[in-house]
Parts: sequence; C-alpha cells; structure tokens
Amino acid sequence: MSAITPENFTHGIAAAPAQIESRPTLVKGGHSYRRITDLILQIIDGSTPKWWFIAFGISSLVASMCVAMILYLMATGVGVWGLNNGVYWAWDITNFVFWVGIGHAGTLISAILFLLRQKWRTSINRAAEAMTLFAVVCAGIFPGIHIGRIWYAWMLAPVPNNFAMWPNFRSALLWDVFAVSTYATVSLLFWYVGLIPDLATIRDRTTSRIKQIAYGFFALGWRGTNRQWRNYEMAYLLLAGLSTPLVLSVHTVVSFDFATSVIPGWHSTIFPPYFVAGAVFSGFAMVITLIVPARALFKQLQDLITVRHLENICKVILATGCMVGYAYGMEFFIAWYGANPYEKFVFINRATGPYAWAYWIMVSCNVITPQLFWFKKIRTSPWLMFVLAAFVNVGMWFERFVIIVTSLHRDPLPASWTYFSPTWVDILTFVGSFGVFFTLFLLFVRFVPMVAIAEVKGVMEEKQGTRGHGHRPDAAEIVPGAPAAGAIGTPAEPAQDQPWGMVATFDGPHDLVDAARKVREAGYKKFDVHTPFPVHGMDDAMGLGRSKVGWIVLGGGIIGLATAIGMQVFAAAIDYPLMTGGKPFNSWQAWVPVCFELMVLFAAFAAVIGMIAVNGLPQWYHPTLKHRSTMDSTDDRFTLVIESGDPAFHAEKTREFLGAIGGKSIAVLEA
Amino acid sequence: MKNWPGKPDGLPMPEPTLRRKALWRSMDDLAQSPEFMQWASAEFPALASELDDSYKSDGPSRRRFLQLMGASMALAGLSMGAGCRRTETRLLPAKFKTAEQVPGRAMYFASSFVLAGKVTGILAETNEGRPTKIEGNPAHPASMGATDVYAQASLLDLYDPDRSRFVLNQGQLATKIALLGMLDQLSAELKKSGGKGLAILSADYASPAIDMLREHLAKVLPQARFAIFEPSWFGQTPPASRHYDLSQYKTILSLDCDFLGHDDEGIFYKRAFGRGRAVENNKGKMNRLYAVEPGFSLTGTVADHRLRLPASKMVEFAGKLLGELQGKASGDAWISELASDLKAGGVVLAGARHPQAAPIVAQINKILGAKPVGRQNGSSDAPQALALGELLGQPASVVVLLGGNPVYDAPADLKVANWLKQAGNVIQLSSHVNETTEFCRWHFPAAHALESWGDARAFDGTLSPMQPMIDPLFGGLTALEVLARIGSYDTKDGYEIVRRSFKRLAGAADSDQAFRKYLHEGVFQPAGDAGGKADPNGSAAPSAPNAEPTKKVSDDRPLGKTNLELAFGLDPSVYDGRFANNGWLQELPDPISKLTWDNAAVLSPKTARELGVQSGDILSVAAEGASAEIVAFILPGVVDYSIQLAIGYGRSKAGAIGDGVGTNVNPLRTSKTLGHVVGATITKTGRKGKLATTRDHWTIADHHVIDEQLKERGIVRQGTLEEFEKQPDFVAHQGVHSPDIGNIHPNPLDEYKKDDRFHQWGMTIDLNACLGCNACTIACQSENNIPIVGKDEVINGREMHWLRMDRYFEGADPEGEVTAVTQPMMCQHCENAPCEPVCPVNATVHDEEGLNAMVYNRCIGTRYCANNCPYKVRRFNFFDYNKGTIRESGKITRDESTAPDPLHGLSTPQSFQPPLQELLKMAMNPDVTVRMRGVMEKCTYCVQRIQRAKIDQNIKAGQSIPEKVPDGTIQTACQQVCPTQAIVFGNLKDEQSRVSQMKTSPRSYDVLSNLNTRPRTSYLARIRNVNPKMPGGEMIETKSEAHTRLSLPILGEVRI
Repeated sequence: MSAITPENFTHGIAAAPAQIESRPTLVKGGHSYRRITDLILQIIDGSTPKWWFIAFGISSLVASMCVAMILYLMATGVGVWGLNNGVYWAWDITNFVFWVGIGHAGTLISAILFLLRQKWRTSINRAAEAMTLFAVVCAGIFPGIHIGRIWYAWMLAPVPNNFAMWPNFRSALLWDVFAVSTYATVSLLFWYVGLIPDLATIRDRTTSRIKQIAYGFFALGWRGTNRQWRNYEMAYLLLAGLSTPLVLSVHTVVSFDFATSVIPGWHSTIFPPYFVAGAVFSGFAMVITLIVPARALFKQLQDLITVRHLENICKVILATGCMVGYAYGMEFFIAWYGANPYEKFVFINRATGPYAWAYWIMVSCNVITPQLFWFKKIRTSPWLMFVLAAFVNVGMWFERFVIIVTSLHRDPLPASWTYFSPTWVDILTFVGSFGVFFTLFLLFVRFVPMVAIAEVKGVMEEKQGTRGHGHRPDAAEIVPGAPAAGAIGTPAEPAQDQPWGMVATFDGPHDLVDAARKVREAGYKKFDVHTPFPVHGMDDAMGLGRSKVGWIVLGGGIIGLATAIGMQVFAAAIDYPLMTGGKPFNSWQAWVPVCFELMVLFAAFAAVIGMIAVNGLPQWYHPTLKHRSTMDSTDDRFTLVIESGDPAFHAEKTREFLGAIGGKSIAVLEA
Repeated sequence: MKNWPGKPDGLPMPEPTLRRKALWRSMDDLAQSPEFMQWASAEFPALASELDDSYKSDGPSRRRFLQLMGASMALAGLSMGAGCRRTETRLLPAKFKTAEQVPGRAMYFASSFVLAGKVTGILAETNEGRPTKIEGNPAHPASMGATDVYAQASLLDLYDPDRSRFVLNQGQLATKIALLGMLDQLSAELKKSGGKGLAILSADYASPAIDMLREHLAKVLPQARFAIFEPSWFGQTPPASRHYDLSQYKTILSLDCDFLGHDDEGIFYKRAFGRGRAVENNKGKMNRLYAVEPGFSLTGTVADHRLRLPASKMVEFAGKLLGELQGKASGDAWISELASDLKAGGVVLAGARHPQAAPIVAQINKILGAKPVGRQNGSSDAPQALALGELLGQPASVVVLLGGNPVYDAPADLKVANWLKQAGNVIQLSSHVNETTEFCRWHFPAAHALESWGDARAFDGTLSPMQPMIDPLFGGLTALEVLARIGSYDTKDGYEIVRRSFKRLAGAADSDQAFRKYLHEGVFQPAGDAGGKADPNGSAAPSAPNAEPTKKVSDDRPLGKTNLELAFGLDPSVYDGRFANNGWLQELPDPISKLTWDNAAVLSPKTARELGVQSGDILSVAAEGASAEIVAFILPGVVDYSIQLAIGYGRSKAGAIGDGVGTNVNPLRTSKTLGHVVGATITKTGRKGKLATTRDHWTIADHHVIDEQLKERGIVRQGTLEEFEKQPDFVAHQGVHSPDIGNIHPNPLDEYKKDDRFHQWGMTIDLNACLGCNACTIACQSENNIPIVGKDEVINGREMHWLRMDRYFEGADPEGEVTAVTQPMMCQHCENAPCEPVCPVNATVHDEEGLNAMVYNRCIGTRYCANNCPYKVRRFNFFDYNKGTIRESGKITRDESTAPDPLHGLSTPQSFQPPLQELLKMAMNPDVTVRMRGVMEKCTYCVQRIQRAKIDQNIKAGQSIPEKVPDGTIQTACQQVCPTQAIVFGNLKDEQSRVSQMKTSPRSYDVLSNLNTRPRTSYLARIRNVNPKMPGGEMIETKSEAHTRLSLPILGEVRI
C-alpha cells in the first residue's frame, strides 16, 4: 500500500498486497498510525525539555556573535578579515561553498531518493530538508557580506537602476545568485508542500487554540481528500523532478565560480561533478551530525529513524567519499598529463607548499575517514559515525579552503605570491554561522514535525482492524451539536437544515478503495474519501482522471525559460551591450545557467500555486473540518463522505448503502 | 582639546589656538573689516597679530591670498604660451579668474626641485591654484622631462599636515611679529660686531641667490662663520663634482656608485645610460656595465657583471684596477679582464660613500681618457664654506640653522647637540619641528619650494628658477629671506633677490624680457658655463678633506662573523631622513628588498646562516662603542659579512607618519666612518620585529622554486647580446609554448578596430631600459590619487600601488651569486580580459579604444575580477584608505576630526581644529575619482589624460570629424616620469607611432600569453651584454621546455 511513489501516478498500477508484506520494515515497533502521530507530535505538543532551552540559549548567543561580526564588518570594511592582494577570497567564499554543500543533502534525499523510490527517505527527509534550508540561509550570509558594503548587493538584481546598466549575465557569480536563490526558494516550497498534510494533522490533533489557529493557517484548510491528494501528489512529484536537476545545478554553478576562471587550480572541467559529489558527501555527513543527537534526545524517534536509515546514509557517504577521493587523484593526473606548468605547480604546491597542512587534513578527513564505513560495525554504531561525520565536515570545509586559498596564494606571477591568515573576525563569523544554523534547527525541532507524518504512514504496514482508538469516543457520539442520528437527513427538513453530507468510516485503505469503487458504481458523483495519506489505487476507484497540475507546471517552465532568454538577450545584447572579456554581446552559452534556474523557479512556483489553486485552497472553513471523524482522517481514520448535493443522495438510502459496503460510524455532516 | 599630530613631544606647547593657514578665508577676512579684526584680536591675540601683519606694506607678504605676483600667472606654463607679465607682485586668488586661467584646466609653472644640492628642473601642475603634480622640465639638463621619486613625492610634503605651522620661542607659541623683530634686532647687533660669534649651518640649496647673499654676508659680517652639511655627502665636504656623459662610453664600471638608483645626478645618468643601452639600431654599440658593490643596488641589478665586495675593500679594489691599467698585474682574472675591457673606451664612477677612492678613480679615468662634463665645482660659486667639523670646532653665541637636522644626522662624534646647547641663541628655520628643534631658542616654519621664490643651479651650470604657485600654507620663510635679514640686505623680498641673482649671472644678457623667459622656460644657461668651466682632463684633485687618506678603520683581520662590516647608505625611499614623514615614500618599496616603512640590517644568506639569524630577528649592532637595535633582513646578493644599513629612519620627531619608523643608525657613524665601519659585532636580542615587505616571506626558503618557475613561465624574458644577435626572436622560444589560437568567437572589439573614429591604445615596456627606479610607481600614485595604507596594511599585503615594480632574483643558490631583474607590472588591458566577464555587475568593461575600464560607482566589491586577474594588478580598498589618517604605528585609523572644510570660512572657533584630511585633499588630482572602501581600482592608462587630449584635439578640429590625437601628445604618468623612457604609450592603429614601432621589435612579448588574454601592454626582453672573457661569463646552455635557453651566470669572484 505504498503511497507516494511515481509509479502510482505514471502508471496507475496498484501494488499487490503480497508484495507489501514481504517488504522490509522501515518503521519498527509495530506502531499504529495514531501512535506514529503521537510520537512525532509529542515533541511539538509536549512540554519543552530543559536541554532545549540550554541548547537554544547557547546557539542564539553564538548566532548573535555572527550578527555582531557582520555589523562590525559593514561598519569598517572587509579589511577586518585576513584577505590581501592575491587572496581576495578566503573564508568568506569557503564558508559559502561549505554551507551550500551541506544544503545539498536535504533536497537530494527528498527529491532524488523520491524519484528513485527509496522509501527509507521518509523518516529523514523532513529534517534533512530543514537542514538544507538552514544551511542555505547560512550560505546566503557569506556572499552577501563578502562585499562589505552589503547595501550595494541589490545591484546584482536585474532591475533598472540609475546607471541604466544591467547585471552581467556572463558572470558565474551572477549565475550563483540565480542558482542559490532558486535553490533556496524551491527547497522552501518543496519543504512546505511536504509539510501541509502534517500541519493539518497538528491542527486537528492539538488542543491548544493558538496552535490550531497557527498551524491551521499554514495548513491552508487541507482536508486530506483524495481529490486533493491527487493534485498534491502530482505537484510533489513534479517538484521532486524539478529539484533533482536543480540540486545538481546549484553546486555545478557554484563550481563554475572557479571552473570558468583562468586561475590554475580553479580552471578545471572536473569541478562540477566533483563539487556535486562533495556536496552530497558533506550534506549526508551533516545529516548524521544532526540526527544522531536528535535520536538520542528524542528516544521516540528511534523507531522511525532506525539504524538502518543511518547505515544507508553511511553507505552514501562512503560512495561519495570515494568519488571525492577519485577526483583528488584525477586533479593531479590531469595537472601532470595536461603538461601545463602553471597547473602542475599549483598541485605540487598544494601537497607540498605552505598550505600542505590544509591539504593533508582534507585528504585524511575526506578520503581515509569514509573508508571506515566499509565495516558494518562502524556503519551501525551511531556515535562512531557521528564522530566520523564530524571529520568529514571538517575535511569538506578544508577542501573548499584548499581550492580557494591555495590556488589564489600562488598566482601565475611569482611576484604576487602571498599567504593568508585568518583574523579573529574571520573565525568568529564562521563560528557564528553555526550558531545561526543550530538556532534555526532547534526552532525547527520544537515547532515543526521532525518526521514527515503522512509519508511515514504511507510506507508502514498497519494491521487492519487493530487500530487502538478505544480511548476515543466513537465518532458518531461527538458530532458537535448533532441531533440524534435518525433526525438527520429527513427529507422534510427546511433547506437551511439540509445536511452537508454523510460520512462513513472504513477499516483501512483497502476497504476504503473497495468502498469508493462501490460508491462510484452506485452512481454517486459528489463524494470523496479522507485519508491520512494518499491511498494507492484510489484515483481509479473513484474514477478520477489525471491532475491538471502537470500542465500548469509546464506552462510555468515555459514562461520561466522565455523570461530568462528575453531578459538576458535584451539586457546584454539590445539595451546596453557591453564588451566584457572579448565575448560577443549575445554570448548565448553564458545564458544557459540563468535560463535553467528561472525555468525551474517558475515551474516550481507553478506547481505549488497550481496545486493550491486546483485544490481550491486556501479554504480555512469547510464542513468536514468540524466533524470529528473527518478531522481524524488527517491522523488515522479512513472515511468516505457523500455530499448531500449529489443527485443520488438520499438520507436513508445512502446510510443504508454505506452500511452495506462496510462503513462504520455512519454519521451526518452538518452544513 | 584633542592632541594634534604636529605637536612636538617634549616641548611645553600650549594647545594650538591658531588654525592652520588656509588658502581661502571668510568674506570678513577678505574685507579685513574692523569688526573681524576686533573679534579676532579679542579671541585670538596671536592670530590677530598675524592678520595685522598683512597690513604691513614692507613685511613679508603673508596672509594675502596667493602671495606674490602675477608674473607666474602670466607665465602660465609652457603649453599656455608666454603672456605679458604684470607689474604687480601679487598673486590673485584662484577665485579671481585671469585671462589664462580656465577652470578645470591645469596650469604648469616652471620651477626647481633641489635635493641636497642636486637640482631637477620641474614643471608643477596646478589645478585651481593648488599644485597637484610635479613633472620634469624637458628643457632642464638634469630632468629632460623626467623626474625621480623624491621630486614626485615632494608634492606631498607641501600638504604634510605635520609641517611646522607656528613660530616657537623656547617651545612656546610666538608671533611672527616677534620673530621678525628679533631677527631685525639680531641683524643690527651682528652688524655692529661684524658677525662675531655667529655661526650659520645650512643645507645645500645649490642656489646662486644664496651664494650672492653669502658674498654679501662675508662683506657685512666678516667674522660670521658659514658651513654647509648634507648627510648624503658621506663626508663633511661635498664629493668631487665629476660627471660623465655615459652615452659616450662602451664600458662602465660602477665602484659602489648607485647612479641608476638614488646616487648623484640620477636622471642625467640614467637617460644617458639608457641611450647607450639600446640594442635596436645600435648594433655593436650596446654598453656594458660592471658593478662592484657590497649591497644590492639597482645598478647591480642592471649590471652585466656584478661583483660583491665589502665596502672596506673598495679603495683597495680601485688601487688594483689602477695598477692593472698602469701595467702592474693584479693577478686577478676579474680585474685584469675588467681593465682590458675598460681600455676599449670605458669610464669608472666612484660612489659617494668612498671619498678615498675618488682620487684613484680620477686617475683611472684620466688614463682611460674619460672626460667629465659639467662644471668642475658643480652648482656653487660661493666662498668656500667650512666643513661641519670646523664650524663645530669653535663655540658660537648665535647659531642660525637654515634647514637640515644636524642633531639627527650629523656624525655622532661631533656632538652637535652639545654645541647647540652651549650656544645661547639658536634660531632654526625648518619645514618641520624636528629632533634639532629641542635645542633651539627660536623655530620658525620654512616655506616649501612650491611656495617660495628661489633659484637653483644644476651640475652643468644651468640656472633654473623656483617660483611660488601657492601662498605659503602656514606662512613660513625661505633660507633666502632669512639670510637677507641676518645680513641686513637691502631687500628682503624673495622675488627681488632672485631677480638680482639672475642679473648677476646673466650679465650682459640680463633684461626683463630675459628674466621672463627664464621664469617661463625654467632654464637659463649663463654664458660660458655650459661645459666652459668643465675640467677638460679631469686632473684636478678633489678637495682636501675627502682626499685625505684616512687611517685604517679596522684591524687587518679578514671579515668574518665576529668581524663584520657595517655599510651605511642613503635609503631609496626616505633618502637621509628628510622624507621620513612622506607617506608615499615610506610606503614605496625598496627596489631590491621590497621593504616598506622600515630599514633593516640587510645581510647575506650565508652571513645569516653562520650567525644563526633569521629575517625578523631584532639584532643589536655594535660598532665604535655605539650600538643600535635593528631588525634583520636576509637578502641574496649582498656580500658576506657586511651588513647594509640605510640611514634616514628611526626619526623621533618627524611627524605622525615618520615617528618611530625603523631604526636610527646614525649613532653608529662617526665622521671617520660615515660610509662604512669594520669591526662591528651583532648579537641577537631574542626578540622579533615585524618588517613590511610587499613581497615574499618566502625569499630564501622558496628561492629555487621561484627561480625554476620563472624560467619555466617566461615572465621576464632575457638573453645575452650574443644570443640576441644570433637569434633575434629568441624571446619567442622562452616560456610556455603558446600558439596563437585566435578567438573562438568574434571579439566585438574587432569591429571598433576597423572603425576610423577610434584609437586603439597600447603600451610597451622595454625591460632593457627599465632600471627599476620606482619613479613610475610614485608618479602613478600622485596622478591617480592612490592612497597609502600604512605599515600594518602592507604587512597584511594590501598596498594600493597600481603600478608595482616586480623584482625577481635569478640564480640557483641564494647563498651564491644571484642577479635580479625588475619588471613594472600594472593592468595589461587585455583584449580578452579575464576580469571582465566575471564581474556580476558590469563594473569593469572594455571601451571601444581597448581600455579595460573600471566603473568605480558601479563596483560593489566582489573582488572576483582581482581573483581572476592572472597578473594580480587590481587593488582593493579594504578600508576607507582615502579617509584614513596614518597614526604613529603606521596604522590607519579614521580621522576623528570633525572640523569643517577650511576652504569654507572660519566663523566659529571649532574651525580652528586642524582638519588634516582637508589639507591632504588639496594634493588630489581633480581629474581622478577618489575611491571609497569596498571598491576595486587599477591602472587606467591615465584615462583622464587620454580624454583631455581627445577633447583638445576635437576642439582643434572644430566641427569636422574628430581627429586622431597625434603620437606623443598623450604621455601616461609613468611614461612621463621614466628617466630612460622605457615606457611608451600610444595608438596601435597608427603604424608610425612609437608604440607600434616598439611592438614590431623581435624582443617584444606578452606576459602570460599562453592564457590568450591578449594584453595591450607588452614587454621588450632584457638583453645582457655579457663579456664572455670574464670569469663566469661563459655561456652555459641549458635545456628547458625543449628550447635552448641561455642562462646568465654573470658574476664573479675576486680575492682581495
């Protein structure tokens, strides 16, 4: 009963139940759906643990140090860093690339693993995506502040200004602006779309009025009906499809900052794949760094984020670590094979020059450390992998430092050779960025479900009929202000008392699919099912066609592409042609990155806005939102609602019909 | 009130209540309204008396707006053509427009720059009444249109906020009235006594007007005693004046004479040497330079053969060479081969540091038949002045110090301070409150050369005027005016004295017309002087004290690590210390060591190794019973066991910039050991000091790496003359093989190249002519408003020079023989500029004429362009350097002064606070943007000069199609200043232009051409004229990158 897999939507073929039972368990402990919800919501709805306050206090102090350093920098100038003539970039861009790299794992886990049908991702994707967002926030700090006078950063935007000049779309740095901001936006959208059903669950489960309003606002009135799920899943799939090349493009574009230059040590075609592998490598290491302590602190998560999850992450780290090690070797090979003395010197100098110490830290952390993951013992010991992941993070920071600083400090002209040493401002700003990261992460842990509730339910197996809801009153009994069931739906009642519809609860997704098919076959049109997660095969059962969201996304992508082409050609070749670097005015090759980014950005917005619009959201009031049994369907109930507006609706006959097809707790929904 | 930088330590000075003298004042002031005077005298008595002064018709005309006369106004520079001179002797303020003056257009006035008796004719550029740039006077024999770093930087001295601003009497503020009253009274008393007890100690002004007054003084005050002293003499009397036209000689030997650096008549020598150095169209005539020296000078880097020799052996070497020439074999192959090469038409130049060698060298030159040019007695016809020692030998009751700083720089054994203390009344005229001021009863400010009337006489007798182009900023007198007062001369007016001096020298040729022409052109050749008085056979013996063979200053033990030699020399930046408060010069890297903001104990790698010394160790250097603590710096190419010490540092009262910078080594020098001393020892103090070099903490450690990389990369390409004649395109085979791959896509610039409306600018730098003298660096700094950054920032590697002088050592073993090459490096204006496409905001783009333009107000400071510049010629404003003030440590901090602009009135007392930056702003070139922090900057090919020339050309062309600027009209600042004309700029589209011609030379190459950046600046390879017969002169062929490359082991060894 898999839910969110591409095959469902592309082929519409239901998986056989036999396969379900043979699938390895992704969630341990034999929890019920409701228990899953409880485990995750306990963190948000329960009282705040003491350690959280301590950790938050420390993190926000460190973060405020980062802010103080930035203010100092803005007031004084980038001279407060250790930069010099020659090494014009050092820790600023090192930190930027480091954080962007870390920001890769989240969306990678979400998108690529989603497309590759790696269901183990569901336990960790939420936290990883949050990590992505916060890492991108940290990454965004550095290119912003590295110019010192950050109030001029707006000049990067393609907006009319007093110089009548446009930004230079040939600059890899501008591609960066588009790539990173697109990545941040799309990651945020992706994360938010994934959150909507969980926000609805919180809205429906919490007893705090403030939380009901707050989470309810962001849930946009999500009801979990299959007509919504259908569009939702299409949007999510397309977002995943868009994010996957986007993830690859971001670090490719970041690597262009170096690869498109002429500086030996930077000028290298190996950079894009090497940077992407490195980014995945460091991102997964950071996931380990965050999840191992989180698992220890929230013991209830250990059934959801199992050692098997961690082991899988370790395998990815091992694989990408080997790729990175291979890239290090190839760089040397090409430097030798290319017979360019400048290139050759830079690499020999990396390994033997003044920064050899940094190079060997990088190699030992990034190449040797992950090799330990060949041992299953190490792959399954959380705290051991936590330590190793920390080494990987250190190593990946040094990788960026080595690429940037050792290449710059030995220029083509020996006359401008120099040496870089960081200042205390460099160090405190970098340390402070960790404060920003952890502050945001702690807020996330406290206020947002750390595990994707709906998705986890979709991949777990719950024995039908054993749902423990004995502690709850039967749904029929708690219909707010409901008169006796028999009185409802009397045809003679005045129009204003006409019920909105009738609801029936079914035992599980399979029953619900059967029921839906029967309801459709009985001639009902205005009916829908409410489920905690998208139920496989339901679209067919309900006789629904394909979602329209796909067309909207296609339209968005085309508009984005056209905007990018038009903007760049107009700015660079028509409105204000400028000679830069001897390139033709309309140097189309340079337009490609921005075209791609804007296409993805527009398509992603189209997916989210399209999904919301097609689903008729936001709709913060709906009759089904006040009925207990439909409210519980965002948690663990599988309900079917037939609207009274359906021509075939009849208060008595419909009730009988629902009872006949296996519906329980049949009740009338007030309008 | 806050402390202010000009406050001399140790002097009990009241807080200054006087504002700095500004050029403009309030309208009240202009009107001299009684109300203003009343208010001023009530509020500021001292100021009132100054103001009062301006009423006096016979007083020195301070406090009038621009002082003195329309004469120079009429002489509105060479380019303006001569006008009619007015008879008034008032300068008008720039706000009153004269016929010649066009707002926004610079005016040029001929004047002179005098440095320790050496005269350079200059043209001072003034913008709206303020001098902003010094250029050479093409008509002057010691300039020929070029200048040197000192002349360039003297402009900054004019606007030095630490210049002396007040009359001081026993350390208290005094009025100028009181001072002039004192001088008048003193001169009256002296007249009565015939000058008894009067001692005058003067710097060397090389001024005929001063000579004239001295003659007058000798008549009026016969008992007065007069001495001249300059530390650069390395003796107590001036070195023998003997100049040779180097273009005439095939072989030149420099005996520790850095004539290509800062010794002697630099530009005259450099230009002539450069002419003799040319290889194209000069077949078989290229000169050959031998250099024998203890340290590593610019002359040594250019030399074809260089010999390291301790300073104490120089005389012996000269003797052996003389012997060899006289037929006595020295038994040393190097010397005998040198002698035979010299015989083929050579000349020997002796350094000022070796006065004892001068008579021997004179004899050698006589044998060689070398004929000196210029006047035998140089600039001075005046009565013989006393040596400093002679003056100090007798006590004096009244001492007048005209410039100089004897307490700091006189030989330690003469104990000048004691002598001054004994004298009751010491009167000092000085541009700054300095170390000597403490011992003076009276101190008063000296006017800067650009503020005063004067004249000067060059080594060949050429007379040049000194004209004021601005009212003295802080008042101030000149030595001329003080001497006139002391000697009760009948006029005290500088202009009148200069006019009389001219009359005296011009003789029959004198007329107002001739004088005007003299002022206009800046030169006058007195009849019979131009070589007429030259010593035809060079036989005259140098003056007595220098010729006197001194006792051996050391034991006969050979030099070793316990018996070291100290060799003292002028500093290439601060000279003898007079420029210690000049930020441009303090930050100017030493041409060889690249040290800034410091002097150091420079020693060879071998000496350092044996003594266990590392660069940065603070050493205690002891000699002759004195010692000094100084930081060690290891430099290849320095002779072993000799420590090179530059004088001019360790000033304690130079000003905010110069105070406490470096170490004062003058206490180690006695009158017998001014040049060098043997028997010194060093001990390590165990402490470390910080030295600011613009290059290389890696000098020694990575020496072989750099040497190898240089050869492989072909950045500086050079060959021997023999190689060049055999294979003229040898440069094409050096460095990385880089076939012309063209452009994958058409460069839009190609369209503009075809368009007749546009020039295509380009530049060549002839490394064979470049001497590495740094003049271009300072000229660029002055022209383009380039800030200084201070010692700490240089240590951080953030110097701002747009044009840097790269220096590379050559030679595998830093302990062995190394040579060095220099290469000016600035923006190459690549056609495929790597900096441009990476800028995200289009702040650096190409223009139609091939300039790589920098749009300052578009720059947001990503620094990506600088990273991607393979030449690393871009400079970033890490801080607001142009708003900063250099504090004592050399660290730049923000100027906290909130004082309003002095150019806008002084109605409130707040405006009396010294507004430092306002003064420095006056030195700025108004045609060039001043950059703020966070902005990238770089060489623009002096785009402001290009635009000016194009506009002028368009004006000339009128409505017709814009014409091309003729070749030679535009000179970039670096080109203009270059003494050897190594830099040529012009239109590449014009095949006849000099730059196009230069680019056709087979020696022409592009740096880093393998990157296909297509630089517009190209270099011409350096040619060394190696004597194959010299020991070590054999050619050694090495295989490198499949191309034959001839290495240059050109150094030798001599056992003495």
